[in-house]
Amino acid sequence: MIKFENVGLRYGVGPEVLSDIHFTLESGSFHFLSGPSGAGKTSLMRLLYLGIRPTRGQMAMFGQNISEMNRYEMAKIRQKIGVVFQDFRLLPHLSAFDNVALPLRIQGKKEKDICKNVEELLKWVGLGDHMRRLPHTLSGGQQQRIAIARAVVTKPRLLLADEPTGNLDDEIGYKLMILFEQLNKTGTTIVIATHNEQMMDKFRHAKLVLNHGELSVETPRIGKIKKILNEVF
Amino acid sequence: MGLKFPRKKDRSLGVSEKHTYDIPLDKGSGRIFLTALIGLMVFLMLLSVSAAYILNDFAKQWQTGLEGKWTIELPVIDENGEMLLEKDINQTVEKILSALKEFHSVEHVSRLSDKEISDLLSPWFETDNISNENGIILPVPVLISLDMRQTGARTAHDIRMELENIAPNARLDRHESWLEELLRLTGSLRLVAVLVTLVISAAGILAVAGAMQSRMAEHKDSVELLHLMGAEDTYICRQFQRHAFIISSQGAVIGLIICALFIYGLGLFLEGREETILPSFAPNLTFWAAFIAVPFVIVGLSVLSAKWAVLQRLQKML
Repeated sequence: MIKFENVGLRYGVGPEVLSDIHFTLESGSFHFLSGPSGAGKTSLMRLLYLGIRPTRGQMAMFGQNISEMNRYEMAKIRQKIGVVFQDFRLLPHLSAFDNVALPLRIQGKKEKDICKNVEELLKWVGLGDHMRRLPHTLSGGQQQRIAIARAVVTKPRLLLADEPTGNLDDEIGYKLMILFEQLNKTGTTIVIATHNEQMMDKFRHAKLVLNHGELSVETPRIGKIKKILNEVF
Repeated sequence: MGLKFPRKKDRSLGVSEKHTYDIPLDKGSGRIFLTALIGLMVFLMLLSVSAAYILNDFAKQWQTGLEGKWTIELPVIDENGEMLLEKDINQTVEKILSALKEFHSVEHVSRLSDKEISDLLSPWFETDNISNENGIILPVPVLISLDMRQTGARTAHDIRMELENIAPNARLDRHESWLEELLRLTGSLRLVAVLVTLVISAAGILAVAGAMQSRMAEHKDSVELLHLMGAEDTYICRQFQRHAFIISSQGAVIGLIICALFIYGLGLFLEGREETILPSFAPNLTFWAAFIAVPFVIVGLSVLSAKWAVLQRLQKML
């Protein structure tokens, strides 16, 4: 479903922040994206949500080569992707309800269906009483839940989340991971960028590990072996 | 009992108002400036269009009023500047009238009365200076008015030849030269009015386009976020177009009201003053249609220029 071949990325005339990235994400897979700070996680996420174009290599999403897409096709591909940004990127003049409803309005859904879906989702993430509040009046955790609700409200084919549980307490964080797993079971491909080792241990999925701009893939079994080896030696 | 609840949802309480824009274009100080600018443009455009229309109407009235009308001027003083005797003048006039009545090309010929001459000259002179109860006291020429069936150069030549025999100092005025100059002047003024209208339209298009691009720069993050959610350029563009529509509609209404009041005030000021020099102007349906169309044109141009400016900028984004 997503294929990167020898993808490289540099900003301006600076050094490459991602080099020869080569991987395939199958439809319905669940991956964590990890690596030390500055390894290029955010850049890789930006490439995945089509926020930037690679400076070299080939990127294909949902069977279409990115470099050959026109603006209309690009918009349609983006509608299949849900993104939870690290800094949430909520629109400050819109209520929690309207922020979550935004992707549905962009897709031209009927207002009646929007109301039903958004209310249901906001209640589910525990913000049923705060639907008409503006983001700046809500806590960081509440804002993060709005950002997550906005990313999943369209039932996207690909969900990208950058540190989605960073500001949440364990219980809410666990609940949201369950939501991601449920989405994954319905066929949504999930990529979660995180530093949270505990969470990666608890929900055992394949890892994309970035180090100095280079990517390696670890299955849960390899990850476990590595962990044992690290503990022994 | 004594409790009061806020009737309107208040932003300070952290409760959102009704959802209108995905991008907060309705907020910001630039909005008032742009509304005022469009109001001013509509006002100026309405004035230009009105001026062009009125000048056109005047030119038509002048043309149709003088169509088939010639005048013969018979001086009342001789070559030495001495006043001619009224009896001689009357005899000459009678001869001219009799001779011209024989012309098939002349439908009607008559001498203008002192009162008619006095009325013609009154815009430039105090009436008392022109005539008294004994008649005209200024040495104004006798005027003979001709209603013509044919107005060709041949007819003019024949009449001049006849006048040469009766009164060599009489002059035939076909009104062509001064009418031509007057029409040229009104034509130039009309052209200026049309050019002013075009310049104002161009300024309006540029002002709205510039304002929309600056609003885009101001809300770059929001626009980018909408793109990342899969919003097509047309979806984003529609928000700016709606913003341009609302602002320009408000400006157009303000400009229309101010211009209507201005024209009404001007009408009151000029009441009774202009009729003697200028033809009267009664706005007809076409004038009002053009007057009402101007604000709609400005609103349409604003929306189109917003669309053009926003799409230009969006094309440069990923």
